[in-house]
Amino acid sequence: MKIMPCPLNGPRNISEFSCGGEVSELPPPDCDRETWVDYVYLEDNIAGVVREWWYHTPTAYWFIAERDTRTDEILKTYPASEAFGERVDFAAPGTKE
Amino acid sequence: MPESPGPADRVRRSNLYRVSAALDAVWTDVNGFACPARYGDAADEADAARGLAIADLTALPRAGYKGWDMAGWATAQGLDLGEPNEARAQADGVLACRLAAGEVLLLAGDDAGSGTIDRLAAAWTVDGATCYPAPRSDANAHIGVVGERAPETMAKLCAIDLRPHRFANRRIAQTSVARMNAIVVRNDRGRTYALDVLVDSAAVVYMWECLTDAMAEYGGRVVGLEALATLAGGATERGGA
Repeated sequence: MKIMPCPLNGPRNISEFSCGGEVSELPPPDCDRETWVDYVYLEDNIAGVVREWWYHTPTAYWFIAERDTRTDEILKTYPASEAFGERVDFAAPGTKE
Repeated sequence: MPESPGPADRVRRSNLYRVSAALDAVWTDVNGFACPARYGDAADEADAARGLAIADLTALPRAGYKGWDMAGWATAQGLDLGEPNEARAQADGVLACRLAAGEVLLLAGDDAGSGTIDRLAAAWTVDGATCYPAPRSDANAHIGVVGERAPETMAKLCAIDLRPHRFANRRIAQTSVARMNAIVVRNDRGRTYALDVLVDSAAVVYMWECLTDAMAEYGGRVVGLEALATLAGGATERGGA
């Protein structure tokens, strides 16, 4: 069984986790719709080191893992609060007109 | 033996009540919640539980709070909080299990004393809330897995090493048990190794079956609340019957 080091719970079987996709930078609130579509739906699918959201199901805990997609090696995991320290408030696109 | 108030007479009962009734449980009342006090002789059950036993503790009071400043609020209410995945006993016997930076689970002791739980429930208000109550009482079932063979029994169902030298008293493992999400808290009764296992109440009959099957080869048996209270150092004041 592959082991994932969870920042909250320690090393656990990978079967306790789900991958939530790539971590990408939030576009500015007033960006065009194509940029939003790219942010929400499209992934870069890099062969190499990626930052990904991972979810520990028993604790409903989201965190970030750095993983090499070529070797499936998990290089580093850390709480999402290390990457996202501030709250972002904005109106949803289309509500400002 | 005086007649026991059965689960059919109660508004609240564990989803395991049919299992306990089939084992001829003698019931006790925990805040209007029917709880198996014993199935036979309580002293025999306590002796058995030093080796290996399971108990349906779902009737015991519990509560939870979750939110970004749970710790600030709970500490202001006088709660003694540990680090995430650490449990701490409060003065009244309630165990405060910190599940995450922003989440705590409160478990009453085997005497069903719920002073801390009641106090926090009375203190919490919507206005200005930085955390919110989690429906632990209804959403979770609570099974005690007790005795020196408990780690071997759990090893069949769970990948975490729960042996006493690796999993200290008052540690918490939130993990997969028999392929179900579960919270496992080591909470020794007196000098006897014990785990409190909390799972989705809707699937507790499955979990009970898995534990029953796993403990069979070690001679485990089903015991009531009184046996655990005896191990913890005193019989319950509620007589059971």
